[in-house]
Parts: sequence; C-alpha cells; structure tokens
Amino acid sequence: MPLPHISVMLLLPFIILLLTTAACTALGFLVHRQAVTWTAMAGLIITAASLIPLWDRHLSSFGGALLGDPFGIALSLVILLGALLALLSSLDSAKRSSLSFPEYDLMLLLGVLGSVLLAMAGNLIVLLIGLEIMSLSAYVLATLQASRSSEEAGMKYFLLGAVGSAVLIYGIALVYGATGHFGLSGIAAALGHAAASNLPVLLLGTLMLLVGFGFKVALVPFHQWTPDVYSGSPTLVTLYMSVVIKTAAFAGLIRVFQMALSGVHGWVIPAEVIIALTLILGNFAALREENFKRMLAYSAVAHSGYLALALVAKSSLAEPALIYYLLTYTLMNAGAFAVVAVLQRDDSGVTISDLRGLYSRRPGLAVALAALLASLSGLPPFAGFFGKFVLFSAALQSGFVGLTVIAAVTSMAALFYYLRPAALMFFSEPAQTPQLPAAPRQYSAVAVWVAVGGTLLIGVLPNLVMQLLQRPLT
Amino acid sequence: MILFLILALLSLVGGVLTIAASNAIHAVLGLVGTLISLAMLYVTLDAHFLAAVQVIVYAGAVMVLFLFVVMLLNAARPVSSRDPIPYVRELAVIFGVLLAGSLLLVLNGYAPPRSLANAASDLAGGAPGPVGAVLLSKFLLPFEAVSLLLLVAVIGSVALVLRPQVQEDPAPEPAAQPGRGETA
Amino acid sequence: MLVVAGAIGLLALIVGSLLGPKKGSRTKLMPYESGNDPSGTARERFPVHFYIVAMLFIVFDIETAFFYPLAVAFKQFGAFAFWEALVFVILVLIGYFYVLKRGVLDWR
Repeated sequence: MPLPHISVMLLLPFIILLLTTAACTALGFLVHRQAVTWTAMAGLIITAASLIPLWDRHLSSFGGALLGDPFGIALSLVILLGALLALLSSLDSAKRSSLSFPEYDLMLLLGVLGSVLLAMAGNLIVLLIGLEIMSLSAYVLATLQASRSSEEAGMKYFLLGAVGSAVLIYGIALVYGATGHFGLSGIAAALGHAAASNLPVLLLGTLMLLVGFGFKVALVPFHQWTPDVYSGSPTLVTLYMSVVIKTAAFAGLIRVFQMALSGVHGWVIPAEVIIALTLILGNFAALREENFKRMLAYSAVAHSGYLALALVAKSSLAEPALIYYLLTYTLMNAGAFAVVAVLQRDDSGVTISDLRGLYSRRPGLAVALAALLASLSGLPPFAGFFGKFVLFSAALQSGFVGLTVIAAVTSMAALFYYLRPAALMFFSEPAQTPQLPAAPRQYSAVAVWVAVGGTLLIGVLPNLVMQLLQRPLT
Repeated sequence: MILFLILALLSLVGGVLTIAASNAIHAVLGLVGTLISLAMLYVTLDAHFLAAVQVIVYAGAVMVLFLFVVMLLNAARPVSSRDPIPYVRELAVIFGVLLAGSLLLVLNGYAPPRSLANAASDLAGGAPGPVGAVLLSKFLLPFEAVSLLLLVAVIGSVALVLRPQVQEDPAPEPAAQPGRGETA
Repeated sequence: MLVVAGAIGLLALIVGSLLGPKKGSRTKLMPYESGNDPSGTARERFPVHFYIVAMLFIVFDIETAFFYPLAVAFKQFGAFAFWEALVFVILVLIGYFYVLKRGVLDWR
C-alpha cells in the first residue's frame, strides 16, 4: 500500500488547535479558568492566521480526504470567529451561568476542531467523524450547567441529534453502496457511469443524507429540538451552537450536495418543499414567541431556510452567497445572544416584555441589540440585507422563482417579530418587573460591539468580502 | 443462504424484543442477541476481525454499560405509563413499513459498483492485516480523527458525571452603578 | 451438519421441557448465591463511580480494537505506522491525563 500524501501546511491549523487543546487541558488544573479562556482565544487566532496563507493554494491531503479549498478555509474562518465571540463573551458571563470552569473552554475547542474538520472534509467518512466530534461536544456543552433545564436540553439534543446522525450514516452507507466511493469527487465522477439500476439506491441515500443534515441544521420538519434546546441550554452555549454548529453543518451539507450529489436527480423537489416549509414555519412560529431566546431559536430555523437556498442554487452563485451570509449570521446571532447573556437574570433568558424601556436603562446595549435585530430582519445598511439579497438572487438566477418569492414574503413577516422588541426598547416605559442585572461587562460589550461593527462594515462595504469570493471556491 | 436467513431472523427477533420489552433488562438482552447474530453474519461474510470486534466492543463492553445504566437508574421496573406523544406508535409503524418497503423496492435491482470477487480477495479472509493497512493508508485521517472523538467522549463523560467546580471571577464585580454611565 | 446439530440441540430442549416435571418452590426459584440465602435484591443501585470506570473502559477498549489491526500491518509501514500510532495514543492520553487529574480513578 502506498503511503498517503500528507501536506503539513494544511494540517497546521489542526495541529495548532490540538496543541491549544492540550495546553488548555493542562492549564485547567493550574490556573484560573479565565487564563484558560485567553489561551484558547490565542490558539483560535493563531489557527486563523495559519489558515490565511492557504487561501489560494487549493491544497489537499490524505488523498483528497482533507480539502484546503477557499470554501473550506472561508467557512473555517467563520467558525473560528464564532468561537472567538463565544469565548469572549463567556469571559464575564460564564460565572453567572455557573459555567466558569475550564471544561467549557475544552469542549468548545474540541467542538471547533470537529467543525473545522467538517468544513474541510473531502470524503464522507471524515465528514461524519467531524460532525460527530462537533455534535458530541455540543451535547456535552448543552448539558454542562448543573440545572434541570440544561440537562433536559442536553438530553433532547442528544436523542434527536443521535437520530439525525443515524439517518445520516444510513445515507452515507447507501451512497457508498451505489457508487463505491466515499470521496466527494469520486462520488461525483461515479455518478456519470453508475448503473441505472443503482439510481434508486442512490436517491434513497441522498434523501437520507438530506434528512440527516436537516436534523443538524434544523430544517422543518426536523427542527423540533431547536426551540427547546436553544432556550433550555445556557445562553452562552446557545450562542456557540447557533453560530458554530450551524456554520459547520451547512458547510457539510453544501459540500456534499454541491460537490458530490448535484448530479443525482430527484432530491431537488423534496429539498424545495423542505426549504419552503422551513421559511414559512420558522418565521410564523417566531411571531408567537414571548421568550426572547425561543424567538431567536425560531429565527435560527427561519435562517436555516434562507441559508438552504444555497442548497438548490447553482454552485457558482450559491457558495459565495452562503459564505457571506454565514459570516453575517455569525456576527448577528453571536451579538444578539451575547446581549441576552448580559441582560438575563438566569439562563431562561429574557422575555420580550423585559426589554421594555431598555434604552433608558442601558442605552448602549439597546442600540446594539436594535442594530443586530435590524440586521437579522434584513434591513439596510446592515449586512443582513445584502446577505439576503445575494442568497435570494442566487436562487432566482438558478430558476427557483417560487422559492424566492416565499423567502421574500416570509422575511417581510419576520420584520414584525424582530422590530417589535426593538420598538419596545425605545418607545416604552421601563418594566416594573424586577431589575435586570446591571453589572458592567467589558468583555461581552467588546463582543457585542465587534458584532455590530462587523455587520455594519460588511453591510456598507459588502465587496470587502464578496471580492475575495469571486474565484473558484471548491 | 439458510444460515443467512436464520441469523437475519435472530437479529430481527432481538431487535423487536429490544423495542417491545417492557422490562429494560429484557430489552438489553434482546439487543445483545441482535448484536451477536450480527457478529455471526459478519463471520459468514468472511469478515472475521470485524466479527471479533463486534463481540468484544458491542456485545461485551457496550452492553455491560447498558446494564450498568439500567441498574444505576433503577430502570428495570416495567414501563406502564402511556406514550407522552399521541399516535407515536402508529406513526412509527407507518414510517417503518414505508422505509422497509422502499428499501426492498430499491435494493431489488441493485448491482454492486465493484465486483465482489475482487473485494473478497482484498479482504484476505477478514484478517486484521488488510484492515490495518487500509487504516494506515486510505483512511489515515479518519483513523486519527477517531482519537479526537474518543478524547471528546472521555472528557465530556467525566465532566458531566463529576461536574467540575464553578470558579469565582478573580476580581469581584464592582457594585452596580445606577442607570447612566454604562455603555453595556 | 449444521441443521442436524441445531435440530439435536432444539430437540433436547423441547423434550426436556415436555417430559420434565415443573415444580417451582420458593427455594428453587431463589437466585444462587454460593449456597447462602440471598440478602436483598440483586437489582440494587450502586455508585456512579462504577459507571465512569465502565465508560472509560469502553473508550480504551475501542483504542485497543484499533491497534490490533495496526499491529498486524505494522511491518508493511514501519516507522510511519509507529508515528501515526503515537499521534493516536497521545491524543487519547490527553483524555487519560484529564481523568487522572480529576481523580476519577481514586477510590476512597
């Protein structure tokens, strides 16, 4: 057997992340948890720096099992950014959520490792293992707080996540059975000369992959865990899940379907139905929620619908749009959950009426949250607007008119639930309910303002990002 | 073929017992039956190493863990309460039948993409050697990644069972200042 | 052969259950505990400590299961196999280090 080709350059980000994890494990027994967090953040930044020189080199390693294409690198950078924001806001919010121990940082780092592996996976086995590393660490993170709601959320997440993984594995097995390949490019090549009698097997496998990923990225009707898990988990963990897990799961989904299975006929219509359902149900369910965290959970489901437009659109249009929107989404959602983490009394989050008159008490936070909500709803000049624009136009130019119309109409409806809390913050008397905690949180504030500044910057100057993405990405 | 049918039937019986038994210990034993008959199926397919691993890891270690959990939670009492979700059984039956039907239909005309004779000679009678060779060449990255999966499992399970102590912030939070003067 | 062997086994069971007397008394149905009368029920709850050890055992069991084929294929790959196995071991050892430091294996 020939030895596999190993590119050390491409492995460097993983080596750095591993060393950081090892260092944090040891440091956790020696120093205070905040020092561990700083170490982890430094590791993430060095990892990001090690990814940048790979940008245009299209390296691949292990016989195509690991791909260093711009698609994977860009999404890895987004994952690292999301993890950085999660760690940054945990520096001062973790204590009150009873999460202030090094295990939080450790599990988060390992989850990031799995996510980056998933984003760069070139074959289905690596993809699966990356996904499992990421999911396992997410289950642990969701359960890590010693409280009933956290345990319940973790349990639900684990059970439904395990079902999703099982379906996904089944799908991988069927796709392998039909094509004889695990590698994404190998599958795509084998589609051309696959025996006609194997096409049903292939289609069944493809649909199972769609369902499995549907669980992971929360597409309707596989989204039921999302509101419960997002609202039951500690807010800091919800922040991490809503950005890092979502980015990585979408990276895997789009990789598999755009790179390997785009030649399979018959999955596009089910995918369209699922996306339409996700858009409609996610947005309308969010309208009824009074708990801000649950509302953001349904908003995350709705955003899965927008992002999944990249699944059906032509890959040359879909991939840049997806990367841009995931970057935007990471900034907006991380910011919004960081605000919740600052405002909340306990990890059940805040209700929308708690936000009444926030402007008179915490003007800075109120302005930031309003900006983030405006961006989530897709108002210019924030990045959410341009992100929706590129995604919708990618779907439209690929000929999915109906889907684009549904997306546009539902995002009008979404304006209601995003702007109602924003309006309450400014134009309403402060609530008489018990005071929200008012301790200053410098680190969370930095995270929030990075998020707001980022959405504003790439919203006003979208070409900063889009220019980089005008090249073959995979 | 007869052997296959017998083993397949055994594993199905075990599977049905697993989900139908009202006593958790019986369910676990049903699962053991399924796993062991699967291991025997692997033997008939000449995958001897896989069969051994299946018996050692699944039927041995994992099942012991299952029994541990049943004991730990005192879950051996029969389940008597109703399903919390209405119609879940009926729905499960419908979807199960649908899945089985579509699998039957789909696998009917299945032709393996590579000739099975070649694959059999590559396997060399299911000895561990070829498995190791593939692990070190074609599947090297997944092999190393599995160690990460194990690492997550170790740290995660210990952290969940023995919850770590919450550390105080080094500097005490200054007393809340009323109203103005705060940015965030 | 197999069918005959299976049939003989089954036959023995069936004949035994048909012909044998079925008289259960309290003493006969008691679990066997080396001749002593059983004390309490066998289905007892026990400390969570056992459970963690069992879980850790599985993790390292899987590690062993991976190393067995590696050892067989070792000669083909030589030093390369050594380094790769070392990476694997070190990664799992990080977990082992954590377990030791948390005092999971201390019995007090």
